[in-house]
Amino acid sequence: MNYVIEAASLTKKYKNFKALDDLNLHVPVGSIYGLIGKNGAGKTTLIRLICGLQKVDTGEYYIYGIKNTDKEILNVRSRIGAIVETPAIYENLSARDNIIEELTLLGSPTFDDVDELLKLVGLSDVGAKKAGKFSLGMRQRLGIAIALAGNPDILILDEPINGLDPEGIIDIRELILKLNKEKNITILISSHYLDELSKIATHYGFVDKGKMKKEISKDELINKMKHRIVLKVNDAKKIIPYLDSQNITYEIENDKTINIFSNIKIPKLISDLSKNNLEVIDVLEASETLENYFLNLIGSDDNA
Amino acid sequence: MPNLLKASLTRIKKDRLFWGLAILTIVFALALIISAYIDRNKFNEIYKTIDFFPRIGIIIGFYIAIITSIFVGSEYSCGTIRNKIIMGHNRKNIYLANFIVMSIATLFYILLFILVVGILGTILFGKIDLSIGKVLYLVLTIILFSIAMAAINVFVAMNVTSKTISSMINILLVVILFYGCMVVYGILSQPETTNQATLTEEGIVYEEIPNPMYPSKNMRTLYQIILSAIPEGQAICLNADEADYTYYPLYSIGVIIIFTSLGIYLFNKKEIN
Repeated sequence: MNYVIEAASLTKKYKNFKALDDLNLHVPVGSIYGLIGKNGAGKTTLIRLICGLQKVDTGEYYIYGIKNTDKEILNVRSRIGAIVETPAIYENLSARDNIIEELTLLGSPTFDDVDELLKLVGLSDVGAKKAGKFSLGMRQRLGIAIALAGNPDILILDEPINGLDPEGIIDIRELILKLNKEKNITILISSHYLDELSKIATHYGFVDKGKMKKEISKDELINKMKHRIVLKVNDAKKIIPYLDSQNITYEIENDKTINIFSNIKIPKLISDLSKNNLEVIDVLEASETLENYFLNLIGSDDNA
Repeated sequence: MPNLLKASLTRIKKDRLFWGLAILTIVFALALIISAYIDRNKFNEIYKTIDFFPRIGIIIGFYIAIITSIFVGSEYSCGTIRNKIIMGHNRKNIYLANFIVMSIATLFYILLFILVVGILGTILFGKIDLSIGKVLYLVLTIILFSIAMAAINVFVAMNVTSKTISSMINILLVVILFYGCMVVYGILSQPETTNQATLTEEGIVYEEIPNPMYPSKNMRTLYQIILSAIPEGQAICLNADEADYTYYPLYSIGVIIIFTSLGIYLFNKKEIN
């Protein structure tokens, strides 16, 4: 798989606090990669490092295969647009002038894209208004327009829906989906709003205490969250031949746990297994939400 | 670098503070010349247009401190410095572009002041009776010490993230350096001897004795170096009419190089949020 951003064993310390601890990251081309974690998990630190705002202590990251220590990384960065924490806009300039400023910094020979960008983020009617008078949602949209000014291939958005009202959240969500689908922009988006991320992300990275707990695609996650029967047994391997013979879809979670996704009759299953001298310790019905999955993931480590 | 410069110049042209200070410069120049003209008519004072040129040194430090803190500081307060780094501009270029734009603003105020003072002064007090070379050297000296002030202010503004704190530091720095240099200048202006009055049977006798406040030769050299090296010191000496400013430009260039190099070094290491 091709990755636009990769990180290997990234570590970042602030005095005695380890903000990132041996973190790995793989953002596939064309994905909407949701970086999920509690406040203080290390999401923003990771984004700051990738954006070159702060220096890596140990480990490395690659953008389009270019290592962070390579001088070429500066050129590759021109393919990134980003909003880190809050939209970076000059408050005394109009929305239009803010985009012009960004295009000038990028060395754009013309400003023809300004109207299109304002239209894309729904700010056409307020292009002449000073950015300092904008609402939070409008600032966020202007921030995205600025980030898009150089036609980037990667858009990095750090908590883009923080503080937005429901309408603003829907606007940003639709905009992100549009940018990903129509302009084929790879998007790395961090948030602690799991529900919102689940509506747009194609891939997830679960971060906790500076570590990447799990990277998973949406399809894999859906499978994990499907309604299932959890079978607790003494030896999972011994059950497999029976499950295969009955064409039952299953997943071995560990030596003693099997997840069954097919529609089965539980009494019949227990009776059949019992006839074959296979002991079932417990049977549970489960269906997870992203939230449960996240909490289990983090909880499993907390209890370890 | 050209893109950074172009963007910052476009932004400063739209900055109300920048134009507000330009208007203040014109008002200051007009007030200076007109009050001198009134004095001349009232008290028959003699004024030369060239003597007004260094007067810009009294206010330029405050101008630069304010505009630098606000213009550069807003890069941090608005977070726009992040955009420059994210899009791949190198930190040295970001620093240098800000320094160059602040130097251009400084140059603009000085030339504006000299233009107004030069034209009005020539009309009211007669033309400048100094060779072109000497006039240009004086203007160059003024420009360079002002740019040295800008280098110090940019150093602070680029390395202190809070706009409020960097504004306070920059303004306080101007006040402290001015006051400190005034004190040093006062010490240097002490006469070598002083008269001591002694009451004798013949009445009061004045005796010339060495001035205890007069600094030793080594201390005089040190104080002179301090005044020459600090831009505010140069401004004070030039306004006192008796300065030998031959080497001032060299000192200013030294200050510019030291503060800019150190500033770039620290900014390169700076963690930006």
